[in-house]
Amino acid sequence: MKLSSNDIAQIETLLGRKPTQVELYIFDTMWSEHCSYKSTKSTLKKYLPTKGSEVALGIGEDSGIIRFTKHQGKQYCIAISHESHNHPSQVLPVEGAATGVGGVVRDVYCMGADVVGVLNSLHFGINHDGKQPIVDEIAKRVVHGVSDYANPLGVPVLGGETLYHESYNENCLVNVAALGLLDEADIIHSFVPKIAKTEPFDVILIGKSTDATGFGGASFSSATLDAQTQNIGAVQVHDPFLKRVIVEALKELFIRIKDRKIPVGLKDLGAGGISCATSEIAAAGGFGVTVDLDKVNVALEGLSPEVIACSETQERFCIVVPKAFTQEVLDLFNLEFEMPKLYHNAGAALIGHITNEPTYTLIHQGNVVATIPINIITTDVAAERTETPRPIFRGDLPLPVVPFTTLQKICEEFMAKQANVSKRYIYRYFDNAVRGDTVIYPGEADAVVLTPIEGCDVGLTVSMDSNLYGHIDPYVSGASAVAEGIRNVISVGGHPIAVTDCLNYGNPEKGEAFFEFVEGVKGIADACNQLGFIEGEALPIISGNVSLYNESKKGSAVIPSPVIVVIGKVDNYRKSITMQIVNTDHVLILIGKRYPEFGGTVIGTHLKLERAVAPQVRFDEEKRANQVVFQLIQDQLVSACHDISGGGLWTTLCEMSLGERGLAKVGLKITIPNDHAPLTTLFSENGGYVVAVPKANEALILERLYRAQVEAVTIAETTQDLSVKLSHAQGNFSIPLTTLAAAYTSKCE
Amino acid sequence: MPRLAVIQFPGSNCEYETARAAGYAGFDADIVRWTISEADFHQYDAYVLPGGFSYQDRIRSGAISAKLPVIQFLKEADNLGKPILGICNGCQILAEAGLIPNLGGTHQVEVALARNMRGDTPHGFVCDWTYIRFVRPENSLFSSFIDTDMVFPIPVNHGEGRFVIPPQVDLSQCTVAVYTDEFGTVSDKYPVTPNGSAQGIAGICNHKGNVFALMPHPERASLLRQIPLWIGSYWAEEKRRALKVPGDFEGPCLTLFKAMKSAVLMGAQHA
Repeated sequence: MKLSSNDIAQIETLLGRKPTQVELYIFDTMWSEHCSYKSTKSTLKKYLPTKGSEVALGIGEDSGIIRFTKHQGKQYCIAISHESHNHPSQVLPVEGAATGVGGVVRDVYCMGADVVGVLNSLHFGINHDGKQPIVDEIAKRVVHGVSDYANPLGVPVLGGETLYHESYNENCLVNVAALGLLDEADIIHSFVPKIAKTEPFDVILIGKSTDATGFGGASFSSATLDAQTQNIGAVQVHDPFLKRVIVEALKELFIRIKDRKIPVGLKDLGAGGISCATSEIAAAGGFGVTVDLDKVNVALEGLSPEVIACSETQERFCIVVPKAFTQEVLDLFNLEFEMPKLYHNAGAALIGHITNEPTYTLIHQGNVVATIPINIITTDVAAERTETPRPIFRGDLPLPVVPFTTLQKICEEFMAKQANVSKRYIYRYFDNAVRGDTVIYPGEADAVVLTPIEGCDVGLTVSMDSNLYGHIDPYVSGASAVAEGIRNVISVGGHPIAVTDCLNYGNPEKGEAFFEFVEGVKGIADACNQLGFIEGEALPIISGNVSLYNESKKGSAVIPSPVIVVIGKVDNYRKSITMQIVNTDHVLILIGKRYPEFGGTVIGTHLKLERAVAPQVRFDEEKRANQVVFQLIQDQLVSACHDISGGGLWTTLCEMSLGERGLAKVGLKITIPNDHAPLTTLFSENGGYVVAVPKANEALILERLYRAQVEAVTIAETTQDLSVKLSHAQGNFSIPLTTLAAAYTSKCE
Repeated sequence: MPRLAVIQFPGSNCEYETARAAGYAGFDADIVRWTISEADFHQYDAYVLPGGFSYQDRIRSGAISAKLPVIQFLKEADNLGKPILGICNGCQILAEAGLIPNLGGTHQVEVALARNMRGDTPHGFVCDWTYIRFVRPENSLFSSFIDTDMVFPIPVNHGEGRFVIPPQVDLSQCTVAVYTDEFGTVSDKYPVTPNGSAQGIAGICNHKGNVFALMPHPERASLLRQIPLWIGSYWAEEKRRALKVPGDFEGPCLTLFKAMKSAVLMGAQHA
């Protein structure tokens, strides 16, 4: 248990007595960082923009919901949830990663939405000299965990990213996001409906039978991992097969609820299990609740009441329905979908009822084992944290940049670097096409595009991004992740409509880590405020998660790792484009100024740097480039587009030529203008784009770019010869595309 | 309009897009649950067993579903010669139920599907695009209109797609689908055959020609928009062209669903 003696004293004051054993476990869960955001809530509230004219449901329930498009009289929306499952994945990688996916999809299903896809951001350590094989083992098993869940559940993995850094050696990061589609009129809320004041409402538990798995999971993830807390029992166990059946039954239930306008409240069971779900759903509606733990379907006899109340057994939902509807719900799950036949004691069970009196009551074997004023459990708990700032180098001064080797050698080997290689060796395990809606597949472009609404040409695009700039400049790390995500959805022909964040940092009780957290939040907030696509509005953050206490056994934190999801709308999917160039007679135009800021970049290790400055995000330049590139694609003047981010222009150009599989159709002749420093031009990671356009349109497009006041220059033309020829003021060289393809696909099996 | 049932097993997960593809082909397609009554079941003219992970792939993929009462109804439908298509997990169920290749005509298990291999190494789950071609297409209602040299891009998504065929099982009179490269050259080696399947086989039709079990997913290649742009096939060029024009365009594999519909209509004429 992670409650401090101060916490326990506070609980005794609030209750006016000593808490029971069961009550202690409930407080341990509900006051954990994971459930209460006690260290971070005030910072998040202060900085992050969460409002917007298209936000259908902001932060506060299990998912945020943004309006997407109208079609045949319906207001379609996208529900999104974004979570981390870092500590469980470090301890039990398959189960940890799988239940990470399992948890985040429940958040979306319980809003009444159907999940259309998931994404994952995986941050793994580096097995230096083969001395830490566990690092590679975890990486491999996490990938299996994600695929073990998403594939059987039948949701496509729409993308993601994999990053490697030694600070993750003892604390990997597994962030997952899920997107769902629903009609705004069909949103189901996670609170007891008002009418329960006058009508009796029951509490029904749906799903897998309760066991002891995941007991103490919420507080486990709210502390540092050390030998004592490597608590395998705190990790949950996944069953996507059962979840699929539950989801199919839920869909049927949603139809009946809608047809007959039955008021309900629905919530998934995640952290804190029954105690958290039932108390929050009641408290949010202004009610109390009584739960009889003996009515809970259990997997085995003899579970103690605190285990039944707080275990985090997966694949469960809690629904609150009018008493008259209860039997029909039970029959739907137990008889029509035969759930008890599919898994021992699985199904739906009536476990309690809603009370007007705002008390949380648990009964076990006829005895009251907990009776707590409900607002105490769900009340705001806050912890004061202080920042210990450190100096961050910024500024436009050109820095001396000296490469250790020749430009040609760097270029030849660059695509084989772990940061640059094709990650197909990971995502080949993920089903990316189930549901049949995928139009642009993972790896084909900066973001996937799908058509989730049958008969509607509006496309959904989404990107999940982070970077390794955080140890150099935690502010830039946040701002850059948002900016990159926005560029990615623009590159395929979309425009951003909403953002979610998952903030992975160290121990907030340490001033250095808390400073990094606050800086990251500021960077994200500034980017969202500056880069919105609706005039006068910020890009709204509609959902998010904070994961703290990510550090090594010795107590050094992971590098600050804010992970951002940007959701975009492609007004007409027919206008979406990929990054691969397939035609000769095209020129490639570089958009966006390059700066010699190499701190935290992929090229960094090849350079001798006097001072590390992370690639700054210049919002004005970004915004102008975003707007004009978006418009050029809408006007169908661009054949292919790719953003510039990690790896810089050289990586962008190689990928545009190689395509997802390294199957190049055309070569490139790159000419670096004499007034451009080759190294900075090729490897700076400041935001930008490369667009491929027919030669005939070159002048017209450059003219539009100049008018939009963005820095733009023709950097290359396509050639029939399958090689990349590069010339600059000091020399020139040529590399066959087969060499680059071999480097790029060197990790693929 | 002919009626087609997509049979939902506990753990199916491709039933919606499969029903949609059948709809594009002109079927009135319903998703029916594994608990459907016998009378309701036999109202349909054709059946599809969709992809997924029924019963969690316990024992072997498809093994438990093959023992359900609904499979008994399906065998009766087979006896009546109705078109039956099994995709991915549906393919595995058909094999476990003895509906393919059914050389003996008594629904005995004759082939099996095992875990993906690459040479001698387990290869795990594979999500990728492959190409298939039909061998002896004339022996099956699914492919009787298809030339044997036609190459279809089609995605695979499975962990257990390796056909294991005992030597005494002679498929020389059955239609089979085989993995090929983009030019139609057959190879049972990786990466052309992504899972180590015997003879590079992707799908097997029963001896009679009315039941087809296919590991790749035709419902995910039924519309042109579903084809990735990188693939080495003229279908990618077709997609580029089609993106410029309004309307949904037919992809390479809708033809399987259309063949089922033609068979139903022709069967009705004969009757």
